[in-house]
Amino acid sequence: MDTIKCPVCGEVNPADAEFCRNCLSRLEPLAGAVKGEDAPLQPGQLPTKRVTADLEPILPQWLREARETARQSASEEAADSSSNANNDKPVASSKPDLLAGLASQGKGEDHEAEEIPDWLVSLTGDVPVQKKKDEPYAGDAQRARWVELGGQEEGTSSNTADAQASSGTSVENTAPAWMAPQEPAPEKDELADWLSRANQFSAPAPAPLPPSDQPAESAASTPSTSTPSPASETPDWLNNLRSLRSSFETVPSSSEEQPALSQPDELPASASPQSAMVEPAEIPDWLKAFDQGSSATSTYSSDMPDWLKSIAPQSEASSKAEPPQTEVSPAPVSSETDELKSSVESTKTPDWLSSYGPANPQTPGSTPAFVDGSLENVNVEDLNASLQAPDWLSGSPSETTDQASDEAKPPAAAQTGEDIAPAALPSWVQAMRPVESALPSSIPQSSRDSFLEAGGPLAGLHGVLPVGMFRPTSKPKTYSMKLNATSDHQTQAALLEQVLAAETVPIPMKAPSVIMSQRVLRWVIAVVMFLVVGGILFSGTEIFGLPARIPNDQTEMAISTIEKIPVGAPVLVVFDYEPSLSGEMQTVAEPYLNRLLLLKHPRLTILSSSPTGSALAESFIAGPLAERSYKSGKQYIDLGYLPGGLAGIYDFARNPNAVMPLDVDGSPAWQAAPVQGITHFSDFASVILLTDSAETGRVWIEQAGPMRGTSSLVVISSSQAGPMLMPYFASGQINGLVNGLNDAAKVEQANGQAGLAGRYWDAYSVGLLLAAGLILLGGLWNIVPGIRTLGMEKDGS
Amino acid sequence: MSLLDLITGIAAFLFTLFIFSYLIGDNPLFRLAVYIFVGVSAGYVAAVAFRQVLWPDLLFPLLTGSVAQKALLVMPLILSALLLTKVSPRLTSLGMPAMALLVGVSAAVAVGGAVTGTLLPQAGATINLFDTHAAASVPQLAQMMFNGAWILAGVTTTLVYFHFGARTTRDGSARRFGFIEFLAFIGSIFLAITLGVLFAGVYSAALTALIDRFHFFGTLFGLH
Repeated sequence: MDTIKCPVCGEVNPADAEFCRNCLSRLEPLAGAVKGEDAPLQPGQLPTKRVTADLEPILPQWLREARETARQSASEEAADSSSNANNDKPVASSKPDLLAGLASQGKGEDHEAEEIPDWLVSLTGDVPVQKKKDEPYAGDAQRARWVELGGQEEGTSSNTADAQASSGTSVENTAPAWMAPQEPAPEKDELADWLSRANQFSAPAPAPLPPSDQPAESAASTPSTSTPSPASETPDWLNNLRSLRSSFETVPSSSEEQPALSQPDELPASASPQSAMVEPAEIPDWLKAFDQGSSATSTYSSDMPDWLKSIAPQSEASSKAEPPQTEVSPAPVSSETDELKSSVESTKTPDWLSSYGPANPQTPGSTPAFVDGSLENVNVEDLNASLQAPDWLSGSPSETTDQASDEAKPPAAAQTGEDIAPAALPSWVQAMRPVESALPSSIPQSSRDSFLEAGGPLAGLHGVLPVGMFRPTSKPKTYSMKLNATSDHQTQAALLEQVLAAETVPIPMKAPSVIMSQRVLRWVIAVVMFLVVGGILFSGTEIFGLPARIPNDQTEMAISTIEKIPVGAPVLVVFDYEPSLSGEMQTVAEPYLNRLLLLKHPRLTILSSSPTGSALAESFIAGPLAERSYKSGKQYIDLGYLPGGLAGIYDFARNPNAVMPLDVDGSPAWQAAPVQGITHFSDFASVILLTDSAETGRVWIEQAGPMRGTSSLVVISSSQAGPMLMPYFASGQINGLVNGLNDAAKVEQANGQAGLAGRYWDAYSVGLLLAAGLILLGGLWNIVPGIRTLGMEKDGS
Repeated sequence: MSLLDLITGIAAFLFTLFIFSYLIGDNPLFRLAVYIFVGVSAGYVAAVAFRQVLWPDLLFPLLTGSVAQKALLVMPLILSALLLTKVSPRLTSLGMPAMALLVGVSAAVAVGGAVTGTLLPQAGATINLFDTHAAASVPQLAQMMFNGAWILAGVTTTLVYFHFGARTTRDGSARRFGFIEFLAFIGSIFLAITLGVLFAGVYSAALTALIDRFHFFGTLFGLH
């Protein structure tokens, strides 16, 4: 069977259980889909209304017992109150069960009352009255009970009044000891200090009683209208306590004709001056302690809270500052009650103290404790003038500003009724008010405190969350949709539009005015070239004379180089040209090599840096040089293809035997007759380079030139490479240059034999002229239309 | 004329005509002649490379050479094998070391040769044109000075022409300094003459080849 362990108490529960059977905690978090009653509300669905009492089983045990005890005590008190004749108000019917239970517990069981912490007692308004077992005074108990219940047991006031009237000493004894002035406690409390300072500010001097011509009812309502807002004089947390206390009190049905009748037992004197004559029995004990002054017993000092202990010496000190007649003279009971009355009328009562009274002094439906018609003739003003309230009760800002002495002059803040300066607050109190400190100062205090939470866990609480704290501090900036463009911007935009529009307009291309197409022109030129050159070649004409020999030119230097070569000397001939230009190269090289072979009978070594060079060399020797009857291996040797490009040329120039050990047939090359005695590159008597490329000629000049020693270097080049090799001849890096058909014709003239160069010379010359004529004709063809266009433009202008 | 010469002559004539047919545009005959020419050339080059390079310099020593020869040929063999990987796109990176060796060695040799074989000798030749000790007479000296001045002007202005440093003008265009612009203009004249000479040399070479082909036709058909 699957079980699940409670994450709170560890109790093992069935797997299908939703709550722990021990602690009633939820076994599985509500992270997933929740079913049943706990399922979340769907849009449009109303929440199910539940009775709060149904949730009582989940309360802690001690709270349930407290509630049960409260119910029992409330029922007993209701039965007791029903016996009172003047009690027509429901007793604690609207009081919350929780606090009622606590109050009844404090009443019913003395030993349990001692266990209740002070803070809880202060929350419920339950004054920690120490009931002495040897003082079975019923009236005292009733008054204490009234304090506990917040003054809702008016029915007990008559009994207490009778009891107090019987003995004045008993009245003094019944006053709460903690209300009696005490010596300063050795243990200083920060809150007590703060409260004492607050009293100093609020009651610097004895305040005169305000004139009162009003009846008792209207006089009772005076405090609520003439006094400044309590919230402005007390800290917020005390106001919150009071509001919380007020929320717990029963709000009876209203009746404005009886505002004073709703006053609790300790306040009838303040509501009705007539009742002040017989008030001693009605004054609560804790209020009477103020009348006792320094004569109050210190028997209750140990029972008084620390924070109230600090009040006692302050009150004592204040009373010492008063005139001696008010301080020393034993005031009658009636004067004491009048003093209290006047203090209430002048709204000098601290807020925290007023919070213990009924929330609404004009609570309808309540009757005054005493309505004595015999007191109607009492001069209230005289009574007020003869009495003086305690400093801290009578201190009104408006009044104290007029009568305060110089040394006891209150601060300006106290005079104007403003809040206590934050700097005067204790640090721990300031730390308890983080939210309020963050509130903007513009938010009224009343609006903050009056905000009632309508839902959620804070429902029913006032001023818990700050009002307007999340109000936006500034209005969101608005942006205009209107285009903000200046006239310059609009002008530039218009120009841009024009440019873009012009880009899209197609520009008509001016067609070239040609008579015939390029292809036909090409055919015509080709046909003309073929006919002219071929016709002259095949006709055998000699229209143009051979070129004249120029002394000391590159051709003559090449011819003279042959003269310097010893007979039968080894000569390296490099065939580095492409087969496409073999016709030209053979025509150019034929007269020079024929002259060399004819005159010097050199041993030829053939080499090529082109793969096709070996074949071209064989073709050359077998063709134009066939008359010299050179045989491979005897008069010449073909080393074949030299790989490696310029690196191979460089390497061959450094060590020819190692680089090219074999000839083109694969036989050892350097053992053949043509290359006998050659171990270095400089051993060749002459190096003749046949090339159709200036680049190839430059490589040979650069890489092999420095290693040739005293041997000559002659370059036989194509016409297209000659001009680029001419500087090397001018610099002396090569000894001679035979460039093209022109130089070949010169060599033929030097040889004294007609050769191909002479045979080609007319055709060659006509071909050059034809090319020059065509170029000039084409140029003129382009000039004429231009001139005609200029003439037309001039006429048009 | 032998039969072989006749066949080769006819084949040469036909292929020449095929190439000339390009005058009327690209045609199958032209492409046929080009393809055959490229194929024959490639085959011939491959045969030459194997017969004259690979076999005598690499394969034959590996098969018949001594241990020392074989050991020396290991590195060329590896580099050659790596160079063959350039055929495959996936393995082309393996041939990078061999290519790096070829490029590096070639570049080093080319730069060294250019400096020692072209730059320094050509600069010295230009300077030596003004060597008065070489002149035997005053007219020869004057001629040397005149030639040297022309060559110096041509070299200097041509080098200035390739100076592309310029300033940005107010209208946004780039212009060289005035004096530099003038020298560059003179240099452009020399460059134009040089390019004209090169063009004339190319045309002359092509014309000579054409004449040689006509001569071949005349010889083949007995027109001479």
